[in-house]
Parts: sequence; structure tokens; C-alpha cells
Amino acid sequence: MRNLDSSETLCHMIDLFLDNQLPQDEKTNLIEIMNSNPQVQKIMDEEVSFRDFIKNNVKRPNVSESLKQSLCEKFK
Amino acid sequence: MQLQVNMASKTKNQKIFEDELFIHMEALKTFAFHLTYNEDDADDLVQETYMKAHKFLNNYVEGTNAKAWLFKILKNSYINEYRKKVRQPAQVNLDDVASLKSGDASKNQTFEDLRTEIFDQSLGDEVTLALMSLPEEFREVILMCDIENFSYEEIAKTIDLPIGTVRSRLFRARNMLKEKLKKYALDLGYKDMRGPDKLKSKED
Repeated sequence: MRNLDSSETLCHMIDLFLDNQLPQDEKTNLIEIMNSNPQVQKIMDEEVSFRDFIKNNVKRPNVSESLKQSLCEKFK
Repeated sequence: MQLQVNMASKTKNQKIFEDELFIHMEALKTFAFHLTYNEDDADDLVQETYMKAHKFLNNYVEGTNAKAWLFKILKNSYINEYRKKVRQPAQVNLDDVASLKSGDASKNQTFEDLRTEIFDQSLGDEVTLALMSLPEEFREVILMCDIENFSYEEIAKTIDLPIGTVRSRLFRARNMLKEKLKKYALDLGYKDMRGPDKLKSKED
């Protein structure tokens, strides 16, 4: 089990948790810490909102209709 | 008989394209755009990706991870062809030079025009600008993980890196991005809770 005393380790853990990369025991441990420490919960919330912010604001240019059409026709 | 086999194979390939490959076109375009920051080049990369997917379709196992497979093809095309292309010196068309001398202004789009165009299009798009300013190796992991929801394992396979490197690169990339977006995000009410002193008040 990792020592969560340092804030950098905690941020790493939160990253891994949100990326679904934490083993179950560490996940449970982090959830317990979050439940008992509002500051940790807050860091988690901020991380979630940061990721949403990036996801919702990144530029996603459309594929042009002509390209879609030409690709579909090519592989018919 | 051979004709029937060819027809069956064509129909099967067509089905794979329709059911499994074409559905990732928008995601591929977004990835390509954030590698090149040029819509036409991004379209070319997407097209090239599907051409290669068609050529090497035998390497793809139906029902497996089509998205990761296509992203890997796109990334390789970007490295092998696009980068090579942009490194080549620009070709000068002698007719254009002649029109410059003759003062035909309608034919001359200067670099300044293009830069203004790009800047105008980007204004107000802080996330894109912040992403654009990250080194490519950091940008691509953010795009794959945070925008396209790839797992670490999928990213590692797509860009041929150990999982540990993907993990540390992502952590650094997100911190770099936060740093770049700090002011903008603060204006919107987001607070950065990272850094060694952020938990101090609680620990005290």
C-alpha cells in the first residue's frame, strides 16, 4: 500500500483512480481517505472538473462530407 | 467459384469497414488535427489511415480493438509521411513568382495572411492553444487518455511505450496543461489544488 502522506503521491493516486488503473485494495483505501478527509474529496472533485473542462472544450473539427463520402465509396 | 470467394471477402471487408472502422472517423480527425493543427492535413491523414487499414485488413482481427488499431496506423503515417513532408523544403511555382513580379495581388496569399487566419480561428479556444503548446509526446497521451478514453495499456501499445512511461508522461502532461490553463481556468472558477503546499492547511 502506498503512503499517501505526500500531496504528490495523493495526486498520482487520484489520477490512477480516475484512469481506472488502481488495484481494488488501493481504490478502497483512497475512497476511505476521501470519505474521511473533505480536502482530499475536494482535490478529487477539482481533478474531475478539470478533465471535464478539457474534454468539453477541446476542438473537434468535423470530417468533411466529401471525405466521408469518398471513403465510403472507395470501400464499397 | 473464385469469383464467389472474392465477392464474399469483399462483403466481409465492407462490413468490417462499416461496422467497426468508419465509426472512429471523427475521433481520428480530432487526433490528426491535434497532431498537425491543419484541417486539410488532418483530412489527408484520416484518408491515408483508411487506405492503409484497407491494405492491411488481413492483420486486423474482427471484433477486436479497431480504434486502437486505427490510431496506431494514423500515428505511424504521421511519423513516416507527414513529418517527412513538412521537413521538405517548399517547392516554388515559377508562375507564382512571375505573378508576384507583375503585381497581381489576387494571386498572392502571404505568410502574414495565413498567420492572421490561424490566429483568428484560434482566438477564444484556450484549450486548443494550451494543448498546441505542449510537446507532441505529452499532447498525444492527453488526447488518447482524456479525450478518447484509451486505457494505459491501449496507449502503450499504440505509441510503443512501456505502461510506466505512459503513466508518468500523462501525469506530467496534465500538470503542464493545468499550468498553461491556470489563468483562464481561474477566471472560470476552477481552482488548482495540486502542488506540495496545497494540503498544508489540512495537515496543520
